[in-house]
Amino acid sequence: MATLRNFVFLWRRGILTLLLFGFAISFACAQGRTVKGKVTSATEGPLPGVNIVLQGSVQGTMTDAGGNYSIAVPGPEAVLVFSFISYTTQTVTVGNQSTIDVVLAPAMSSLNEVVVTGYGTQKKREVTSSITSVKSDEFNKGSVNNPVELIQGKVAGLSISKPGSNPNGMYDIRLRGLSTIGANLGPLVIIDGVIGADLNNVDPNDIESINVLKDGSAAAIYGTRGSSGVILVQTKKGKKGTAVIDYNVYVTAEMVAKNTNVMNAAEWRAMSAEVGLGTDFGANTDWFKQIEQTAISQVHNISMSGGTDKTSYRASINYRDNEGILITTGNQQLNGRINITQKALNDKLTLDLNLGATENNKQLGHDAAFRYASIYNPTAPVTSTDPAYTQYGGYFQQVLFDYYNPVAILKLDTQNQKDRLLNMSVKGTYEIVKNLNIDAFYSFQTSNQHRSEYCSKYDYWGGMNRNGLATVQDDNQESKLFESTLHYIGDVTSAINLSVLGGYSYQEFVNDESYLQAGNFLTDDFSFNNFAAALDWKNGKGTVTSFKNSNKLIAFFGRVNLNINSMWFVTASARYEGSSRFGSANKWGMFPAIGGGADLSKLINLDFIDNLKLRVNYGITGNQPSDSYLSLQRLGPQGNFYYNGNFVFGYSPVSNANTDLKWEKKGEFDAGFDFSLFSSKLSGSFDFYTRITKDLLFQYQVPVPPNLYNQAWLNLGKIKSSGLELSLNYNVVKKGDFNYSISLTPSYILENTLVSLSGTYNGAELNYGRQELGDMGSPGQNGTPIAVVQEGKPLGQILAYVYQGIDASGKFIFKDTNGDNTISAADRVVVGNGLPKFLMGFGNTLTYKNWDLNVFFRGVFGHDLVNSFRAFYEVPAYITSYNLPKTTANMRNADGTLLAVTSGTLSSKYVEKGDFVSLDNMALGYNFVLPKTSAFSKIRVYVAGNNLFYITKYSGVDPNPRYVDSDPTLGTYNSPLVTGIDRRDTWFRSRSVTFGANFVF
Amino acid sequence: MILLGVAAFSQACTKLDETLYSQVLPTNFFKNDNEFVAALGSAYTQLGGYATGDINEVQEMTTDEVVVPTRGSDWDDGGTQRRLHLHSWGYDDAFMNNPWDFCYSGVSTANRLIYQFNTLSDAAHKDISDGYVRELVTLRSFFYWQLIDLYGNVPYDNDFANAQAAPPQVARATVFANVVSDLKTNASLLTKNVDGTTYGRMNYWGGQFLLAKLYLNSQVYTGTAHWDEAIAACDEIINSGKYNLESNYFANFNVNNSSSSEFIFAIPYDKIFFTGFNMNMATLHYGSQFTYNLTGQPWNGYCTLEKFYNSYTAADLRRGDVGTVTTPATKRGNFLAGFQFKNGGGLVTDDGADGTDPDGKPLNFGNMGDLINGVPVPQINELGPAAWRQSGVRIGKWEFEIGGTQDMSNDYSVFRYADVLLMKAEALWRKSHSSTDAAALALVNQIRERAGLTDLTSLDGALSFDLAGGSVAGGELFNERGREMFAEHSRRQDLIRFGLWAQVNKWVLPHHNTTDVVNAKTDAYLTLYPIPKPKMAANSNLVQNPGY
Repeated sequence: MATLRNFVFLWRRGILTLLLFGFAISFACAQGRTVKGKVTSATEGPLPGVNIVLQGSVQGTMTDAGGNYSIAVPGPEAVLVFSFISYTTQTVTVGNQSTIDVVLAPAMSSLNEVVVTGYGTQKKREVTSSITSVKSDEFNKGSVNNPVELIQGKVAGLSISKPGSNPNGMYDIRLRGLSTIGANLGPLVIIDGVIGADLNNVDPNDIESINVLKDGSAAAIYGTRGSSGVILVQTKKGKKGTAVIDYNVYVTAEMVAKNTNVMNAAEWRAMSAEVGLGTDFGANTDWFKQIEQTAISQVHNISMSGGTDKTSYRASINYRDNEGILITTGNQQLNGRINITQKALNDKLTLDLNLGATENNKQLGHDAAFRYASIYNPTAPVTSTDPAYTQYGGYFQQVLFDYYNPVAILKLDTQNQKDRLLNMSVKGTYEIVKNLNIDAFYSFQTSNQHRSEYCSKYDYWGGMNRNGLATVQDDNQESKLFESTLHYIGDVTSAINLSVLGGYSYQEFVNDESYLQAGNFLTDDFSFNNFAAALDWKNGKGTVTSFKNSNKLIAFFGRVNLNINSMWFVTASARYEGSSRFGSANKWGMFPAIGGGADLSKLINLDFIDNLKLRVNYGITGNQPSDSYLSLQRLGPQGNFYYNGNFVFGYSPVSNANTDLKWEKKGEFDAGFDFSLFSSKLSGSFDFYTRITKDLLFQYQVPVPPNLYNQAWLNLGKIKSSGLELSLNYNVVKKGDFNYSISLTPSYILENTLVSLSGTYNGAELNYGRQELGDMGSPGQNGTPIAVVQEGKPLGQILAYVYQGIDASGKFIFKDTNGDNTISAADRVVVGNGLPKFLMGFGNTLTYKNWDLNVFFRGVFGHDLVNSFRAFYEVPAYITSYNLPKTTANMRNADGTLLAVTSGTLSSKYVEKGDFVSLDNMALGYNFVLPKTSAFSKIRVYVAGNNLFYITKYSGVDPNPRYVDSDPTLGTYNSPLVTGIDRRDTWFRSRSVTFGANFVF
Repeated sequence: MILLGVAAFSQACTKLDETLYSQVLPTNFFKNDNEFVAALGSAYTQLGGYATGDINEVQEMTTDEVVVPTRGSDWDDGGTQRRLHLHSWGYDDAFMNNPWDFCYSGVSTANRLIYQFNTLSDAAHKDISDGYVRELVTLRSFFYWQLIDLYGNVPYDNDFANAQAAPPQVARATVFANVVSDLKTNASLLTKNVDGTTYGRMNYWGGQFLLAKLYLNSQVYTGTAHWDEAIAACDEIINSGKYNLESNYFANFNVNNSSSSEFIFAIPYDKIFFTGFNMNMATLHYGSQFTYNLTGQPWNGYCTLEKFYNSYTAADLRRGDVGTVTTPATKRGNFLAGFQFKNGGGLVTDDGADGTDPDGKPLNFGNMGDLINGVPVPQINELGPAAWRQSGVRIGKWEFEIGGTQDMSNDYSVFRYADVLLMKAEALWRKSHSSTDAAALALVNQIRERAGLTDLTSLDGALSFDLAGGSVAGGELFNERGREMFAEHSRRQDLIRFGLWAQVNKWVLPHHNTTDVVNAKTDAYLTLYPIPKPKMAANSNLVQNPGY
């Protein structure tokens, strides 16, 4: 009600303003003196046709061809308003000047920019929530193989992280910290209206813009899957006019930027001799040189597009051939995309057809090669002719725990993956009457990952023991989406523009997997291509598994947008959505949002303010669990049972029933400003958000009995977070041919707290107020937790002993934090946090004549990293078995002898600050001046560098934050509660240089 | 087009039922005989984790029989293994939690199946389902026995349909009485057949064995002794003539051992069909892979303690011989000691051998090169940190299959006839208090004769881990139980029943290559394990055991 009352009040005030305006006109009649001058633009020179109006009157004039004007003014208090399309309006108080020259600044497009929101578009000035739009000309430059790389660092509050340089690796994307721990962590991706689309099925070259819906009110229209943010991707479309052919090509050279800092053969020998341990095998091997390469990649993109009044189209083919910095790795991707738009029925019907297809062949190599290259004895040869090594295929091997020749595993273990992605969609929009449209949208997406691996008979790591081992795994995902919306947009009164949307959405998903593994082959020649040849089948030893699951989402949604006098903006939306994944009692959930905006520049008349909009909103979004059937009690075959001389399957429960399983809900309040100041010299936006997630979805241990199974997915717990975000664009210099502007996107997380992780289930109180999670692993640190989760404390806490120094016997001293005079597990305390607090992007754009230069820095601050390489191997005694970090040689007592440390133990000594600034991206381009007769309309060449350097104190290979790690307690491989662990298998960091050209004709 | 779209989806437009493809709902199960059997099977599949799972850790690693040394970087694991051995476990150690889950998962499965058989079975299947219910009660009793043995007072709640959310603990003696009563009313009606149909399952004799175990430990569990009842249960088995001592001790532990006449209840492990018996992985050194051509690299974990190894004489057929630099050990034994050879010949070497290790690179279990009085003696620098990588005599009791996988096919006897003889001997001795109880000596000597040893004339003697401590009443009986039942989940109960649990410092040795003195905790409360932390968190009605 309050909202409605305010609205009526505002509306009346609007009328009042109009009346006052009318009075003002009628009083502006007295004649005074004349003012003249010239209106110019910095780039275009004199501007003809500029409107000059005496403020508060209907009197006005226009500049002539030379940009000159003259106008009569009543007195010194008169104010002149200079306005011209696509330039920022300027007002000047006359005073006692008789000549007033004005330089108009081009309007930043941001004012009239159209941003893509859920189910539609909106003018940026009307938007009431926090949405960041990144257009293709603002994208990161250089070697970009994944769409998210285009906007890394460009969106305040959006962290995009991929530690290491694996060309087949995945990005962890986090928006505004962590708001969920058991459900989907990454944002929902929508490509050309396809909800839950796969970013791997769109080539970065085909993307027109990426919009990020950051707050709860913007995302609430996607209700159930919007809690971790929404990324909307629009692909390029054909435009009316002549046909355009666009060809992009680039070649990239990528090199390792940082290896682990381990001893060379001479250093190893020296320490080995000093300790009197270890075997010198006589060789001098640089294992990094053996497994690394300068990776050369090439990318080609060709597209054609065009259109007429009725039809527009764009089609493209993209080819990428990437090598990895690790030998035997890389990928080759072929992608095609077609967009066609056709109008019919007197332009009342518009049909859009989209088709995208990708095939990507990946050579995965073996991540552990980096770990083994770090620890492999540098005096060991790569290969040996000694007959003892024939069984290893001639590669040198030593029999030690978890210790394999890194070259041998790369050469003798082949891991490939072929991804195939297909998406097709059709959308029909029909104008029923003027301003009222109905549309129907259908899309079909399918993706298939075919993974195959063969370990040779000579592969000591995996194939030797099985006499050759072949594995094939096939994963298929399929989703069908049908949506229909009814959309009205029109003026209710001359002051009020109304837009109303209502819709229905139905989406179903089907996933299946099959897996085959068998060994014991007569020859390696079959690789993974002839399973029938495996003798394992004859011995009952091969493995075959398969599964299939499905789920559905059904929703009704609606939204109302009001624009009052282009000054007040109101948006309200709701989505009522059901998911098959929930308990029978709780399938459906409601996700409302409300937001308001006010263009304060119309109220506050200050010269330097071009635009100032205040936004305030609140929205509720949801999250569903990442698996189906979690609410059902299920039985499955679990092992065998010896029955009357034979083994038969036993069937047991694999879950508990939870008919109350329901949506996780996040309520988010966001308040912000969008501003443009000093004739658009400075523009940007500022946001404050605070969010609370309730009914967290998480897998808990539950008592047996009364439960049948010892784990259950429940809605317990609460997370609270808040933060600040700023986006700034500043035009530093604009003079003649020279233009320099900068952009800044700092964001700061004020709070990210786990409020509660307790509650009741089936009458039993579950109390998980403090949990130690994660596991360092072997050697020697199995069962050593890395993270502690505590109610009332920030998420991301790293748990370890506090290192205090070395005692007289050469052992580590850890702090007795609980004062019980013994050092035990209870003395481990929080020594760091794996989640960053402060993110920053810093872009520089310089243009001079035909040259352009982009320099983009990215900074991430406040996170800690467990340098697990040091935590495992900075142990002098390990020289027996491993090569060690160079730093180990400095671990000495006061008398110069090496420390008596005999086993790695995680302590604060190995928890390092991860803060860094990196030069992510630098590109220098030149646009050729082409004669009118040229067949080309554009030729551009450029050179770009990616990840050129990192400024950091972190001593490991890559300081980017680690957002997930495995947790054996709950059997999860990517728990967001275990963060900040720099694992030994992480690919090393690389830098790359790219040469590219773009031809348009 | 819109109409078409709407029509296609209208039927399903608001339905959100889930379709299962790869699992089944209980309501769609129990439709035929085979499904009944498969359901019953789930009660037994649980046992896969018994032989070398965490319940093995808490029953064996805490005793004088087995230890997991911290060898260089391996098995430090935050000290959990050391804490077990030094009786210093914390209530949040996973080793405390996992056996609880193991047992209650067994209890819960049995209760669920009993409920399902009772309610879902039709008249035609009534006889079958009644038999299954009795079998399940007997199997459930086995899990309850383990629970009161490890944790004392535990929840005892078998009403599946009306299960309590947070079941309270029931006194140890009450659970004991309930389990005894369950066995008397149910196990007594089970089949007395001993053949393929009862192999790997609870039958009448399994019920009697379980009663004997409960009665033998009754004084510990309830404060009241039941020696006569223990003897009666043993006699029921002995007099039936259904079981005999195998002439060869190792017939019980070979790869193909399912025909053993000693097995009263065995877990029919199989490297493919019934996995989980990983003794080869747990005990062998990495390089032992080449001795047995194993398909996986072993973990270099379990070994025995020096004093325990030395409680066997060289004449004892159960000990096995010792490999030398030139000759591999040829005689099977409870242990693998001395130098190790590759399957095709040649010494197995360990390139990572510690510099201080007197044997250098050749793999030598227990550093048998050291001679004391001309006899090779194993040095087992047992605990670490920084035990030698190859140190320690390994557990060789169960035959390692050449070309084996990480899962062994040897069946694992949970209830073995030799134990019946030893249990009866002990009950007789405890009644008579006589070190020369003839009936008891005769039973123990049956075991000794098979082991190639001379007959005992007294049940008293010095304890194997405290030879300097002089003769102790029942000492030889205790020692013989250890030698015979080594690594079969018996030692912890023996130590507690003989009142020796707190003497842990007599078998925990100082490290061989450090000067540290190692002290274990010896408080009386340590005979019970703590109620695990996650269970305390999940059930506010639980009361922690005293001392924790």
